[in-house]
Amino acid sequence: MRRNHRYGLIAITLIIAFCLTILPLPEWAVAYRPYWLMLVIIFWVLVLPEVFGVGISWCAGLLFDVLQGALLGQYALAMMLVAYLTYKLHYQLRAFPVWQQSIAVFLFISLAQLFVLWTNILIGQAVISYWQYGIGILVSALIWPIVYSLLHSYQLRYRIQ
Amino acid sequence: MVLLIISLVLMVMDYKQQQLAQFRAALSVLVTPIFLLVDTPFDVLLHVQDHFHTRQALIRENTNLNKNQLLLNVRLQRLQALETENKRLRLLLDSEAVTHQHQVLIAEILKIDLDPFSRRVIINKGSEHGVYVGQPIVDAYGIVGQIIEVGLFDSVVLLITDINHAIPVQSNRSGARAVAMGTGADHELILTHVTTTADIKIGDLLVSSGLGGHFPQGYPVARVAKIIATPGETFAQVTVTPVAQLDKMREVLLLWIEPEK
Repeated sequence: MRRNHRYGLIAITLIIAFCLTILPLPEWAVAYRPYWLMLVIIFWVLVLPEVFGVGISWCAGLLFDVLQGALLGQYALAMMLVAYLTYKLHYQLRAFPVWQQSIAVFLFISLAQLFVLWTNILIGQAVISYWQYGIGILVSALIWPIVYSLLHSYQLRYRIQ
Repeated sequence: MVLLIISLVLMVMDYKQQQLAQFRAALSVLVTPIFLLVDTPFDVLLHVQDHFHTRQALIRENTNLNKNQLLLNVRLQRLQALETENKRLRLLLDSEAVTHQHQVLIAEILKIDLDPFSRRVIINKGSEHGVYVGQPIVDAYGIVGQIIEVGLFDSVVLLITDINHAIPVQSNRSGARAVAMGTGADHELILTHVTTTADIKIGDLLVSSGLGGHFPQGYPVARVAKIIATPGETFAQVTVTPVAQLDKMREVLLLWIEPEK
């Protein structure tokens, strides 16, 4: 696979994450929506830290801000935080079994969402329920093994290096 | 580190002022295809459903629509008579007429979930169609919200139920004025600063008062659902239900208001 193809292939996964984020769900299911973009970012930083770093994560986060109509820079910073933590610990994380990675994913996303929550409160956005934040994070951590194996096979299939 | 500072600056700027509107609009061009990507399958599905309507269903629908049309026409006749009468009376009183000419455009709502913590929807009309920030949006039943962001081919509507939204209203029965604030919940607005003695009763229809200058006067907004007036308190807690079908609507109307000469 030529080197310049890999960014396109990575971009496809990001676009899919964007789509899953705005996919309309029935009212009861909204709270269970995992933080797709964060999961995808954690994966790429974990396996290809020299290709997919904090900078790209920031850009993806900025687009996410526009997508969600959030405060500009809010998710950019959150994504950056997630990417940075993953980057710092990627040697250890790679050695972990997947379920232990899930715990790390839970912690990273919790921190990032805590930041989002904090800024939301700071600018006076109402918090309708803290549950929604919590459940989303838990679901994200629970489906991390599935996301990991899917993206891993995608990576191997197209030999993204 | 640089990115950290940039994002902090962006957040502050975005919050404090609207300077970033153009920047956001430029970025939204990148995001629009994603909206369409998600929305199109649902759109196609609806069209296919429409296509396979049975003949009988169509006939039934047609009869219903015809009946409705007739009823509405009758009401419209009365309205026209009333409007002219109103104008004449106002002339007698030497006060200026407040009727407005409204130009309308139908927009479709894209099937997209935004941030679950704010009440917003995206419609498929943008600056290309003359949409502007602050433009009022209504559906067949009442006021829906207003435009807060305009892209080239789509724009963002802030619903009246959003926590950051407030709309001046007045009771259709007594004329008592109030401000209806969103709560973030789907079927609930609250009236602020309504004194316990104000003439507002359960079941009152609240229409827009037009005082803020944003919304045209006289469009239905909500119905009073609950009043808690504690003796000794200055203000009553009034909960109202929006009359617009905020969670079911598929199409909305954009209004352009021009004062009648």
